[in-house]
Amino acid sequence: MRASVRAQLLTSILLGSFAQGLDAQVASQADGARGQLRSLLRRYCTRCHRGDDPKGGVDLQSAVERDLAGVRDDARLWRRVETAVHDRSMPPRSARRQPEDGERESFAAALRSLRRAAAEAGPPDPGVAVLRRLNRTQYVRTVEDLLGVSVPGLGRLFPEDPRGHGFDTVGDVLFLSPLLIERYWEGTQLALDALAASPGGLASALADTEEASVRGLLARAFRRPARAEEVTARLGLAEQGPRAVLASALLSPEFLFRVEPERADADGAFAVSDHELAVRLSYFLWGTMPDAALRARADRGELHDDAVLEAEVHRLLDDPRARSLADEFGAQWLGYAGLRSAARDVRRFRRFEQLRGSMYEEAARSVDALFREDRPVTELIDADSTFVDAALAAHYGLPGVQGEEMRRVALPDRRRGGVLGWAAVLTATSTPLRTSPVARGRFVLEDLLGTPPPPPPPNAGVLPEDDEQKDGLTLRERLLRHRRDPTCAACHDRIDPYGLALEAFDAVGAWRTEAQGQPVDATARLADGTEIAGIEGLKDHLLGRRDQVVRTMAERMLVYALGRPLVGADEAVLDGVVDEVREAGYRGRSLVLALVRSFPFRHRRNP
Amino acid sequence: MIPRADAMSARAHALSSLRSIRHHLDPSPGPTRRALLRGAGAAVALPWLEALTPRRVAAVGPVRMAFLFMPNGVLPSAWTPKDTGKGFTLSPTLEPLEPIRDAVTVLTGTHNANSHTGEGHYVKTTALLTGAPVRRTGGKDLRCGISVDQVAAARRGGETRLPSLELGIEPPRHIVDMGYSTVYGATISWRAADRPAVKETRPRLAFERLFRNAQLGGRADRSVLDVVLGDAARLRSRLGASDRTKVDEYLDAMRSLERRIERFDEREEARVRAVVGDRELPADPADFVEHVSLMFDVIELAFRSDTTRIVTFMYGNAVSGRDFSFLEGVEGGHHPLSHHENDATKKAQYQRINRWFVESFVELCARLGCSAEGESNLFDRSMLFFGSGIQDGNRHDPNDLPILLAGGGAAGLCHQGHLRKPRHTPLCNLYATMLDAFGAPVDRFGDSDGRFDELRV
Repeated sequence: MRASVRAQLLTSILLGSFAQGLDAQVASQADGARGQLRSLLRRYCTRCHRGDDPKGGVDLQSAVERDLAGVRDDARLWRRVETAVHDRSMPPRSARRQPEDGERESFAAALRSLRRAAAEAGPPDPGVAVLRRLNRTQYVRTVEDLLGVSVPGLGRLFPEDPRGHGFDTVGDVLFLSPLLIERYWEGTQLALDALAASPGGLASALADTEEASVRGLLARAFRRPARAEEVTARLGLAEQGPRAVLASALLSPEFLFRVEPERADADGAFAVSDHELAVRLSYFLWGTMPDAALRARADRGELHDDAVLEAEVHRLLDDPRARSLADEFGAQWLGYAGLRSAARDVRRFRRFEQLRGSMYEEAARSVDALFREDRPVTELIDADSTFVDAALAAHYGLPGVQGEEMRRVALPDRRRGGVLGWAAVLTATSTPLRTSPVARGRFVLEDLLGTPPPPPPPNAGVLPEDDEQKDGLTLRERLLRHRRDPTCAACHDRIDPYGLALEAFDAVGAWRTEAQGQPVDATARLADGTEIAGIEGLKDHLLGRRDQVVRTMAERMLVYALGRPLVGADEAVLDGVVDEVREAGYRGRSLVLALVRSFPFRHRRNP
Repeated sequence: MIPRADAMSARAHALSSLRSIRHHLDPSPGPTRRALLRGAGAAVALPWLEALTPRRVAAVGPVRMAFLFMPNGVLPSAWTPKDTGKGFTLSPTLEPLEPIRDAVTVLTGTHNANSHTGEGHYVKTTALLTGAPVRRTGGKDLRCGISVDQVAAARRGGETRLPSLELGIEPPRHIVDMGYSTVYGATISWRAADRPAVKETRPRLAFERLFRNAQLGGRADRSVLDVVLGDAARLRSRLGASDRTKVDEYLDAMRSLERRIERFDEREEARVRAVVGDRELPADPADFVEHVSLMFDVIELAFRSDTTRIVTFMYGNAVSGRDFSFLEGVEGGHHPLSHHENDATKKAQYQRINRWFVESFVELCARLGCSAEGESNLFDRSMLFFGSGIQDGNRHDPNDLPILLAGGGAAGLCHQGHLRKPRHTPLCNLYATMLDAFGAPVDRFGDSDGRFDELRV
C-alpha cells in the first residue's frame, strides 16, 4: 500500500480509545505531545509532504489534519519519519528551514510519547506468526536431542532453507515439498539406524511400546502433553515394533511443525500456554526443543511466573547450547553466516582460505559473549578486546599471539573491536576483488542503524568488478561521479560515507594505508554534513547513536524469536525494550530478558 | 557408436558417451572435459542425429521434457539470427548449435506479458514457466501461478516414480531484494500458485534421490504413514485458514511419498539398477563446470531409467554473479558483466558467457542423443527448452525472449530453424504446444491464446 494512502488511513482507533476513558495524566501528556508534533510538522515537513503526490509518497499533511491518530496503526511509517528527522536526512539539506537540535529531540520524544499513549490505550496486539516447520538446523538438533544420539550426515540431507525478513526462522518462506518429505523420511531412517547402533539401542528413546512409554515419547516429541487419540494410534503400531512407533513420532506434523493452535473461544490476545512458552524460549535461545528441566517447569505450570521465567532465561543462557544465538541469530543478522560461502581471488588474497574459520569464530564468540558473559551490547560498536588465534592476530598485526586456539586479547588501539573491525563483516561486505563502500554503507545504515536505503532503480549502474581499473579513477572518485546524478545522490549521499570511512580495510579486512597506488582516504562527510574520519570516527558516531543500534538489534531479535515480520504495535514494545536495556547498562542478557518478558513473546492471538 | 546401456556399467557408459561427444565436438587432441564444455562446437554431423531423419510417424516410448533456465539474459545483437527459416544463418552466440541445427528451433518474438512490471530479474525469472503475475512480497503469501512442468507432472507424473525433478546449481540467496523474496529468484517450478517446488542443488543427493529407494516399502512403512496422516488431519482441524495451507503442503508432499511407497516394486528397482549399475555417488563438485556436468548426468540417468520424465534445471539463480573467469578472455561475474553499459570489452565478455550456455545446452543434447532407447534415443524423445526470462541483461528487457527448443522428434516436434513470431506473442503458446506433444493437453496455459502449429508434425 502506498504510504500516502496509509497515512490517510491513519484510523481513529487512537481517538476512539481515548474516548473510552484513558488515564487522564497520560492523556494530557499525549495532548501536549500532539500539539508540539503538529506544529513541528507544519513548520518543517508538510510543505513537501502533502497533497495527491507527496514527496516520497509520504503524506504528513493529512496526518496532521487527522490529529495524528494512527501513530499506532501506522507505527512503521512514523518510525521512519522519526529516524529521518533524528539522523538529519530530513528535512533535506537543500531545505531553507532546518530544525534546531533541540527541536529534533522533541520531535522524537513527542512521537515516542504518542506511541506509548496509543499502546496503552488500545487493545494490545501480539501479532501472528504463520505455522512454521522446524528449519534445517532446528530439525537436526531436535532429532538429536529427542533421541539422545548424534546423527552424522543428517543436516546434509536437507537443502538450505530460504530466509524471510532476514531469518530462516520465519515461517512464511519455510515451504514443505515432496523433496523435503522424502528427506524427512530418509532422515528418520538415518536417525533410527544411529539410535539402534548406540549402546542403549532403540530402547534408550522408547523403553517399550506400552502406553506409558509411548505417551512419554510423544510428549517430548510434540513438546506438549500427548492427546489420547495420538497415543491410541501408536499403540496400534506396536506390533510393528518400536522402530515404527519412533518413526511415526519423527514424521508427524506435530513434530515437524511448531504448532500453536487456534483457540476457538478467544477474542483478541491471550497468553500462550506454558508449553508453548517453553518451546518459544528454547528455540529462541538454543535452536532446539526444551530440555527436561524446562519441560518440567511447563508441566507444573510455573513458567508464567516472572521470577521463574527469568531464572530459566539465565539457566538457558549459561548453557553451551546458547551459542545458537551467535551461530544463527548473530550470523544471519550481521551477515557473517555468508562468510562460509564467500569467494576471494586466491592470488590477491592468499591467506583468506586459512583465515575464513578464524574470522567466523571472532564474530561468533564476540556475539556469544554478550549473552553468555552478559557483556554490554555496545561492544558491538566498540570494544577494547576481541577474539583471535595466531593467524587472525597476524592478519590484524597484533603481536604475541601463538597457536590455533581462539582467545580474548586486549586491543592496543581502536582499529579493531566491534563489528566494523571484524574481518568477517569487512569481508562479507566486499566483493571478490575489491571493497564495496556501498555494501558497507548499507550494512551500517540498515543492519546497525535500522534505516535501510530504498532499493536501487532498475537502471542503476554497477561499479567495476575490480578496483584495479585502467582509467585510473579510484573507487572513491567513481562513487563521487555516480553521486553527481541527483537521482543517485538522494540515496548514495546517505549510504556511501559510512563505507568510505572503512576504506582503510581491504576486501578481506586487512589494514591498508594504500589502495590503487594512492594513500587511503578514509574521511567521509555524512548526509547531514558531519565529517567523520576512519573507523574511530565512525565508532564515535555510532556510540552517539547507541540506542538506535540497540533498537535495531532488538527489532532483529524480535523477528528472529517470533518468526514473523514486525507489526505496528511492536514499535511501542521496542521503545520499552530499549529503555530497559539502557537502564540495565546495556547488558546483553537485559536485552534477551526484556524481549522474553515482552507482551508479544508471551501472547498471541488467532489469525 | 551407440553404447548399449544394459551391457556396460553406467560409469563406463558415461565415460564412453563423453568420449564420443568429445570426439565429435572437439577435434583438438587430448581435450579435457572442461575443454569440451568451454566448447569448440565444431560442425561435425553426429551419428545419433542421423536417426532423426526421416521422421517417424508414430511416437514410440515415453516422451520427456526438460526446461533449462539461464540467468541474466543475452546480448541480443549476437544472439538473434539475421534471417529466418530452416536454412537460417547461425548468429555468433548460437554457432554451437551447428551440429544439431536440424533438430532445434530458435524462437524470437515471444514474451510473458505479466512480467513487464515489477523489477528487473525476479519476476521475469520465477514466472518464466508460469506466465502468471507475481505478487511483490518479502516472504509473506508468495504467489506466482503454476508452472508448465508441474501442469505436466500433475497430469502425467503418476506414470513414473518421481512425477518431476527440480534441479539447480545455486541455493537461494538470503535477502529480500527490491521488495521481492529471493525465493522467487531461486525458483522456476511452482507446484501450485503459492507453493514453490524446492530444488536440489547437490548432485550427490540428487543421485541418491533417484536411485536409493530400497528403504521405502513394506507394511510397516504403510502403517506409519497412516498414523502421521491421521495426526495431520486432526492438526488441520485445530488450525485457522492460513495455517491450514501449511498442513496442506505437508499432506500434498506426503501423498507423493505415499505413492512412491505404493509403487515400490522389485522389478522396477532391478531395472533402475541395470541403468545405474555400480556407479559411485559423485563427490561434491570442484567447480561450476563440473557441477553442471554432474547435474546433466542426473538428468540423463533419470530419463534413461524412466524415474521421471519431467525436469527443470536452473544454471543459476536470478542475478547470479557467477564468476566466469574460467573462460578465456572473461574476467568477472555474470550479472555485473551483463550490465555492460555498451562498453565493448564488457559486451564481448558477456557474449562469451552467453555462448558458453549454448555450448553447454548442446552438450546435454549430445549426451541424451548418445543414450539409445529402443530404435530411438533420448534426445529424440525429449523436448528440451532453454531460455532466459529477460532478453537483454543490460536493460532487463522482457520482450523477444531468447528461447531455444530442441529434440523431441519422436514426440512429433517439427523444428523450424529460426522461427520469428509477431512481437509480443505469448510465450505460453509454446508451453501449450509442448503440453499437447507431451500428452497433457490443456485448453489454455497461463496467458496463451493459441498454439505454434508449425512446430507439430
